[in-house]
Amino acid sequence: MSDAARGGDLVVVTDLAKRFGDNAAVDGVSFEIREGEVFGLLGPNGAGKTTTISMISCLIAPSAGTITVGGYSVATDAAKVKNALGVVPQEIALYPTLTALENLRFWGRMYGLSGTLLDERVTEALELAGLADRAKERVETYSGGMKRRINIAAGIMHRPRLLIMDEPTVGIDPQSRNHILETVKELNHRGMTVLYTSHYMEEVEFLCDRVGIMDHGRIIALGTLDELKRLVGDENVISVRVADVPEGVLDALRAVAGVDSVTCSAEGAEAAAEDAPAEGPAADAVTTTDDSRVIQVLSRDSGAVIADVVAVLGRAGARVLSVDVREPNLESVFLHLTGKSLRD
Amino acid sequence: MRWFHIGMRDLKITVRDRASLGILLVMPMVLIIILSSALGNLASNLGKTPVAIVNLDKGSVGAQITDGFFTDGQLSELFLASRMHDPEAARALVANGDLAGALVVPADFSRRLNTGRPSVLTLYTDPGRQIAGTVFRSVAESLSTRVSAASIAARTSAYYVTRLRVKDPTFVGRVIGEAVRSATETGALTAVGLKETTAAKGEELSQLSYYSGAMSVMFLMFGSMFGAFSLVRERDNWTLPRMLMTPTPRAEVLGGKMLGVFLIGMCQFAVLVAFTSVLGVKWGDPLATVLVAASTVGAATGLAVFIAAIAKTVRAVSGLAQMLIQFMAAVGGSFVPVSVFPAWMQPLHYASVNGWAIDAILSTMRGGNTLAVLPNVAALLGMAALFFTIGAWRLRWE
Repeated sequence: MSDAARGGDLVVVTDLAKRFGDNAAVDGVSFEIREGEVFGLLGPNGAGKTTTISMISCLIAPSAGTITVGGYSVATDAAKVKNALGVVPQEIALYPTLTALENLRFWGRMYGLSGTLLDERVTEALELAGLADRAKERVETYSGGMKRRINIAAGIMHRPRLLIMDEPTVGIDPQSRNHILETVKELNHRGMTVLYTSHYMEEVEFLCDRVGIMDHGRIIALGTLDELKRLVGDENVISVRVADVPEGVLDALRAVAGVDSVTCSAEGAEAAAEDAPAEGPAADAVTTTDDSRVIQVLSRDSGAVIADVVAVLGRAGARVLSVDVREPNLESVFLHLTGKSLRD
Repeated sequence: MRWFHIGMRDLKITVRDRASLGILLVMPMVLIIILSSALGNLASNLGKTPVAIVNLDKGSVGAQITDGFFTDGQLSELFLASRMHDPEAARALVANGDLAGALVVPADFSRRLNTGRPSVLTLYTDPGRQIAGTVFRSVAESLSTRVSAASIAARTSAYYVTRLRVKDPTFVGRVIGEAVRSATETGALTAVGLKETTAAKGEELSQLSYYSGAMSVMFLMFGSMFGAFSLVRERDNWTLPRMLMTPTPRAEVLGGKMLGVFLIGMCQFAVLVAFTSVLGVKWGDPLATVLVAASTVGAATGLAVFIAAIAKTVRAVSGLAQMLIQFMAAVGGSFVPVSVFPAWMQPLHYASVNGWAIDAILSTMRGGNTLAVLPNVAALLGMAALFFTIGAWRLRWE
């Protein structure tokens, strides 16, 4: 084992790069994941998160850089690395015409399980997924959330040292989302190290001990939640949902005294209304399906600025639907670092 | 053993897919019945019948008989005749199915007839080509009758003119007519006999037998399309990348996928053999049949990897697979027997899996043993290796 691994780093990624033609999907990424922690990779779609974990999972070869898992090099000891990994892909990578039980038995065998041990681990995984009573039903008959839970169960039966989860809550109902988040907590509590990617900052805030924020193939910030929030200082986010955005209104907002930055994003396409959680850690991750847009204003003096922001919008003819003020969070960190929303 | 679980899983998924079962099993069953009932006779009558004419006669009578196959307009319409000099070579070509028949005129044919002694024409026919054989036999019988009549006429004329010195040509003509009519009525036109020998090695094949083999092979090839679908779908659905992220080596994943295609093909073949056997088809030597089936399914499996490597999407797989499979089915004799193709087109069937496979299946149906089908098995395995090598080299995994 490497020195890094003995020192508590389960994963060490150094100067990792991946190019597809002229496009640099990952561009010089370095980070470590400590044994026993939940490490989050946060970034918008296309930031390079999936490419990064595909390289850690030995699926695609890096163009440059090195990766070690448990002291073994992905480049030279792929078989040993794969034995230490459990991967939950973003897609529902299951066989829809097979039952959950058949799927889990198959994936268990792919990880080398057999006999009584396989039976025990399948039962355990089904109970963790909360689907033991529906194990003999075909996966194609499941809801999206149930499929996601079996998708996760298929990756943990061999009790990997590192569980890699790529956007595991995309497109599911609130109950399943909360179930998954609690499952990740539980697995981590049992000692499993987790690499969790998401573009939902609330999930990452809820789960992760440390977070790497990715954008355009690079890690633009890395640290604990507190360390990252300190990057923003005492800036709050004033989030205004408007029915329409008149021309020139963003420049007018930037001119307001006390406003540090302004962004505007469409909210409609992000998630279905049925996904909206009633409450809980994932609640903020969900947006609406209408055509409204969200203007986000960063300000160190939100209390004084909010009235001016609403007034400017009103004078410009924008129809304000709601106004929300938040303390610094990962969203505002991303906004602060990139000048854009996570969901742009 | 992970490859085994991958293969068994694919078999299970296919068995549960009613649409796949419909195409792989029900369609060939229906087509076997329809084609053998409706197109059987048509297939036998399409095009000219290839025959060989072997004239060993040193005199002129043999030439008078055989020249008609090359100069007579009606016979030329029916037969694609070729001159040969070796009766045994002609018989072998008929036995191999390359010719529908051969007519052999013996060396002393003219001399025997001219001296009043009977002679025998030899006819080789292929029992697998019932209708073509019947037509060829009728023509040969007609020729032998005409030569017999001419022989009687010549001898009658010689007797009256030379021996009795009768000089009235009208009288001589009437006497000749009487002699020929009398010989015809009494069945005494036997100056030229016709000896028919079936040159093929074994039993006569029905159209049902032919299309049982031909359609089974074609739909085994469609099984390769489903194999290619499976590979591309697994890539798109992320189950293939997920397998590659487990400790299962790529070779084992590909081996498992190929095992799946192979198992599906063998099960499909077994069901079709059972179904057609109930209808009365005799498939012949079991070991030879299994060898031919396994090598054909092997070639289809290799083709599945090849198609999955070349086509990047499910739609592209469908297009490419249908083009390849239908081309091979057409030139390989799955739709109509290769023997009805023009001569220039017939060698094309060696370029198709179907051609080698159908040839071998017909051979076992006619009584051929394992040894007889080994060249075909070798050719099919060669195709399997070629398709697989190119496919494995070009296959995109992620």
